[in-house]
Amino acid sequence: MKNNLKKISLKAGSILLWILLWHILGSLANSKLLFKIPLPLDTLKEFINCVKLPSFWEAVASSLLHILSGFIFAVVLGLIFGMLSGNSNIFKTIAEPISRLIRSVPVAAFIILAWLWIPSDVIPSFISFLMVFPIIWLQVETGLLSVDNRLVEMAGVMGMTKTEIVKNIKIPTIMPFFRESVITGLGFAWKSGVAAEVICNPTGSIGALLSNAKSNLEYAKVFAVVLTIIILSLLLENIIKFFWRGNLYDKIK
Amino acid sequence: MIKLNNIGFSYEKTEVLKDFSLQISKKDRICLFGESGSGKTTILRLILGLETPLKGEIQKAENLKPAVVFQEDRLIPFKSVLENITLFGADEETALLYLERLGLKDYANKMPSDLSGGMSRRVALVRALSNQFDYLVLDEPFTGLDQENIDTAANLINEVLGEKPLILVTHSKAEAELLNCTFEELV
Repeated sequence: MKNNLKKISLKAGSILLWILLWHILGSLANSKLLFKIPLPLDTLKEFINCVKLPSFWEAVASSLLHILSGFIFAVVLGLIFGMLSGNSNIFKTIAEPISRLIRSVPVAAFIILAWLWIPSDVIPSFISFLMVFPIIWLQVETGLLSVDNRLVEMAGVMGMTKTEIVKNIKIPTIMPFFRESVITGLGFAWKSGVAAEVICNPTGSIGALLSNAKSNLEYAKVFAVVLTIIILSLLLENIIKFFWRGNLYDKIK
Repeated sequence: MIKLNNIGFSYEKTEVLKDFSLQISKKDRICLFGESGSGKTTILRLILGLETPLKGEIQKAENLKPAVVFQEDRLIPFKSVLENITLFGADEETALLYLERLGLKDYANKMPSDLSGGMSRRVALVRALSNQFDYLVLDEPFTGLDQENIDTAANLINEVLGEKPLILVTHSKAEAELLNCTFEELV
């Protein structure tokens, strides 16, 4: 209890310290007219103004919907591809160039490429999918390849059925790899999805809010939208960690 | 019950078995004895169906269920000691009783990573003995055990085994004698 209180105080203290530093640097930059930096209080005021608007929440909902749909599709397809390439060398050899290509091309290049053929409101979903898909795929494949064959051999000899071997040996071996890839993938999905929104500007999205605020030189609004993106990212990460590392995972296990 | 007729087996270019024959009948307790590389473990793997002979044939009565202690403990690392035993159909009562006999009752709910080498070996033995089987296969079953634990484990094996066949691989003639085995020398 005492340790927890100490940890929380230390975290809160460090955040306050960085906000103070932001305030000092911002005040200095603004007074010397070097460049404009919105101060923490201005950002907070703008953030409160934003959250009062229904259009802001519509943008948040739309971005979440698009990015999460791409993410979920990537998890499902990544799982299938990972299983296939972990079990079949032929599939792995055939499919490997796709994963290499996706991993080596910069996300911005993919966004521009996608923009050639795909409607701008679908691009965030597609880009989130594209960034997460190889992460899940490779981790599931790695998990499958790390299954201890001696355990599988022992279980088979001692009378375990194939289904029981999958349930008791293979799935528990893959699970930590899959879990970590889902948590990492969610962060990637969010960041790449918002980047796609900023570039392609689909109407009524967080990325479009950010892009428009920048075009209108509304500095405080730019900071407020970035703050929203950070809050949503932390929120998503903690929700998935709670379910995946906490209750849900224990039940599955 | 199990018959190996003129078996030939090689790992790539290294010939391990040549014209090897063995017959295991009910009540037989056979110890495969010989130097490293003489093919003892290979014979066990052939009997268990984990390898296919290059020459000769293996005849086995249908639906024979083995219980095995491999050269390595092969405990499932993410299952508790008790789960490692009961996953294969053993009832919990028998598992706990045998664990107690081998001095491991307090470790039933521990994970394999919490066990020493000798403890893991004893759990592997309990796993084999707690489950229903038609014949027992033991590959160096007493590795890492002190004499007191070897004696206790041998007593339990003798008791559970009854008249079922045993195929044992060991480097120690004394251990084979504890299990009342006849020797099958491999060159």
